[in-house]
Amino acid sequence: MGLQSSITALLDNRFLICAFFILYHSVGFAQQPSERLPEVLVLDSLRYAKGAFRVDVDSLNFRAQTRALNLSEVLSSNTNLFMKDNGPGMLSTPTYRGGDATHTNLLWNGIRINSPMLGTVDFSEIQTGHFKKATVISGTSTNLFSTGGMGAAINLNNTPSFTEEYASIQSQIGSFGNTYNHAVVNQNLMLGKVAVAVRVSANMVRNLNEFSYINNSTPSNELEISRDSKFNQESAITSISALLSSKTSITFNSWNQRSRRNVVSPVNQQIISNRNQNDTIQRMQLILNHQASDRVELKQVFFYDNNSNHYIDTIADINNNNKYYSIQSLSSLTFDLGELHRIDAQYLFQFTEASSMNYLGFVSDIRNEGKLGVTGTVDSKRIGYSVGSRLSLWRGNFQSMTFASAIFKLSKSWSFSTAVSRTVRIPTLNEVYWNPGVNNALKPEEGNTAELGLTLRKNKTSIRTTAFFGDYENRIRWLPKGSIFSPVNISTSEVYGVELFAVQEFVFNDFNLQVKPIASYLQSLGRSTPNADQHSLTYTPDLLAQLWLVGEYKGLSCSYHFSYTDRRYITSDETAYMPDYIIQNVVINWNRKNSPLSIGLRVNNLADLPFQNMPWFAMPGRNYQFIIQYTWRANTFS
Amino acid sequence: MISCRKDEPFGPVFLANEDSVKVSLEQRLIVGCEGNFQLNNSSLYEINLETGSVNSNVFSRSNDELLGDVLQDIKHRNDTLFIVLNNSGLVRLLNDSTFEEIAVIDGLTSPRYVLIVGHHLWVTDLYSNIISIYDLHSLTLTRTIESNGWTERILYRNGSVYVANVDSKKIMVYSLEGVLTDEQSLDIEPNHFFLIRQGFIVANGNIAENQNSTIKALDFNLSEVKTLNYDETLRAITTSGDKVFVAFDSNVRVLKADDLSELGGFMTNAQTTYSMMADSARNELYIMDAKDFISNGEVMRYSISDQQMLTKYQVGIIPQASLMAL
Repeated sequence: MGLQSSITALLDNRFLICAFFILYHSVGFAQQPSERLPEVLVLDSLRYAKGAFRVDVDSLNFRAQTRALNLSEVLSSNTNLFMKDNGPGMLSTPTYRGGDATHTNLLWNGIRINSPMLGTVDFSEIQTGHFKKATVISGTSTNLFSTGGMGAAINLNNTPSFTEEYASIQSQIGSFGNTYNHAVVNQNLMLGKVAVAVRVSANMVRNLNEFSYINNSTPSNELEISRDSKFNQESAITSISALLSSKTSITFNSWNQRSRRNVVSPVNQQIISNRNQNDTIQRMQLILNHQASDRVELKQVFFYDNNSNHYIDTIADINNNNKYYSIQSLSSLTFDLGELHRIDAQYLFQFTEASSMNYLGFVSDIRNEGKLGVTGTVDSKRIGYSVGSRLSLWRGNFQSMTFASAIFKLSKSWSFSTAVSRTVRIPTLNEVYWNPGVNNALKPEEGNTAELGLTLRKNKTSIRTTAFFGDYENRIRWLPKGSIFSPVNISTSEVYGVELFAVQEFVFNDFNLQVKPIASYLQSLGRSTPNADQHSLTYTPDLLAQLWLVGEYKGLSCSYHFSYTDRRYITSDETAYMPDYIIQNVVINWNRKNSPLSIGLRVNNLADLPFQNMPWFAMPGRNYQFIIQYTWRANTFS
Repeated sequence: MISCRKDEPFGPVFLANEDSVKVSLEQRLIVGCEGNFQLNNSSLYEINLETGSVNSNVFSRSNDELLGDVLQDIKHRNDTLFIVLNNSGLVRLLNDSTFEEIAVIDGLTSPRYVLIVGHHLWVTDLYSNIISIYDLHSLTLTRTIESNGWTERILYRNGSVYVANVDSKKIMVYSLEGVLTDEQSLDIEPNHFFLIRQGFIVANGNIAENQNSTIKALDFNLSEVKTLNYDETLRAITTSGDKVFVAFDSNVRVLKADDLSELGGFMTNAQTTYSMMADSARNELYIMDAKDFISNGEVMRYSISDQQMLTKYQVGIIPQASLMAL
């Protein structure tokens, strides 16, 4: 049933026709060999703190392990972020090191794109095929980019390349009537003397999500089929970069997206629901980089975000279109103090206007933020450091957030790192204006974070361990007062733990084996009032453990992924919990050397175990995805 | 491949303190705990007021089943408890001693409160725009009444059924046949509605944080006798005999029921007063403390005469509804 409907959906859509149209023009253009240009680093000028925790997940569209996955799936299987996932086609938000979903900032080329209304982003709506790389940084260095990243920040990068030319089309057909189609083109050209790189990425998702599950809220554990989890989406990101001179570049990014989903009811809810959500997103960035002198680099980013979240519930008679537009202006100046030290200054202005039935009209918000930092190396570059402070002014509330990090090279292979930071999250528009429940007296959440790291990099071995600590206060909770929920600054928490990232490669003639364990163990303790007892934070697993085994023989690769998610308490006094679970996935991929064709099969939940990530939201058992990808590289064109 | 875990629980696990339910014949306070929205963790507790023992999660342990989502109301008739589960859309009928399930009325949209009149069960609803009337002999739906919005508390007096309509800010009066016979407009949303000796008490709820509160005394013709306005947010209200108890956070005020004149007040130790129940026979007030709403709550037992806390009992998450049972 699922496969047949997937094929029907695949043949029925017009996406492939459009994609081929794009590729046809791309190939045609590429048959006139373009001039090879050096990689221009200034385009991707995000600089991270030296010594602070960071993990990159790159080649998102081309690696078999990450192809055709949304951001929730990529991060939960490649990092220690725990995703609170309501199931296929449904909301998925992250928690990292005991933080809330609002404590993880999502950055697009360095600009924060979390909803100013919700403070969060639905990671299941972001298709990673659009991006080249996702970078996760911990709360100790998120002040480099914005306020609010008390747990982490994730930067998505889609910078066009001046040195590569490719076009790729990818199609996925899977269980439950699910299909995914994606096309991406990166093209270089000369307009007079101006070098231009264009990258266009488009995809379409058609997921029926008709999976069977055990309804464990019924006495007989009945087997049911999910019929109301449809998720459809179209999105496209276009990037155009131009080298106006050897010292000046300009990049324009446009991200358009439309998503429609049925909001599924938890399995224990017996009311027949009819709830739908329609999201439309229009984002635009204009990035100007200018090397003013040998020492001075200027960067100006303008960002526009127009977002609509339309929720319809015919049973509860709700028809509410939550809309906002936001304008951000980010001005940056980098000044080199000789070869070893650099000053970074930044000023961010953000204006947001939002409307909702629950705001009783339009509301607006202005944020002003600044950052001043110094980065450099000392002791013959054996020690690297970053230090500075982020300043924030919001509704008369001034906050200063100091951060510092350092890395010490102990030997050729070993290094030690440390980072500390004070972080602040400013209340969202919903927290301030949502009626009923409005609380105009909310204060920002505050936190202090610290980490220590030890890294070994030697030959084909990479091991990184990190110990971390976080102390948070004024955490905002929506608590019912009578029949109405209202946000209040009420809770405090402490989090400490350790993380492990390791990669070991083995090479035997043509066979390559990569073993990659990823794990985190944390103790998170919180109290809802100053005098209350401390208990584990809700929805925070103590232990997350993953193992990747990736074997490659010539064009054939086989990946085995094991993940363990510990129990999560769902009440703050530890009287109820979600049980732990193990999920195993396998990805088999064939891509003969120099062949443009790649064929893959992914088997998810190999052992077909029933599990729930969030209470009463069904998750699918064993399921399959067949992926075919055809990629033209530049040498294929000529 | 690891596959030996199929028989283990994979949904929410709710920890219970004891395994078997003790049947008590002494005076008991039955406490219904709302639980968290969509978590299906409503629970029923039985407090033996003579011995002080607490029977926890009595429904789940008697029936080996979860009670449901968002317990809203409890009513008692003969030896049957009627438990309204708002977000589960059902009313469970239980034996009041063993808590074993007798029957279930399901298919409701968003039930709020029930009233038992004769052999009929009236059910108000948040979303369905109807009041449903069930025959308790056959447990079948016999009649629905168009209600035009959210209907809340429902009372019976002298051959008429009085329904608080929150959306239209009215008290609607129906005959036992379901015919609208009278209605009275109010200038507040009637979230709370009680029958007293001299008439009715009606009050608005917490529409927003820091909202002012209004309490009205009405006569039996629904005419206004007295109105009290407070610049505080009302957290809970209950009546007993000739008294009205009103909670503003931890501050409880005692009012005379007929003219709402203030008789006194006292402070409680409650962190989050969520609901109250007064027992005029014992001259005691039970304050339900929801704490932080995601951990177990408490029932605080106060002597009304000397305004001292006598004892407290731990119950489930968000204690919402309660009643006295012998």
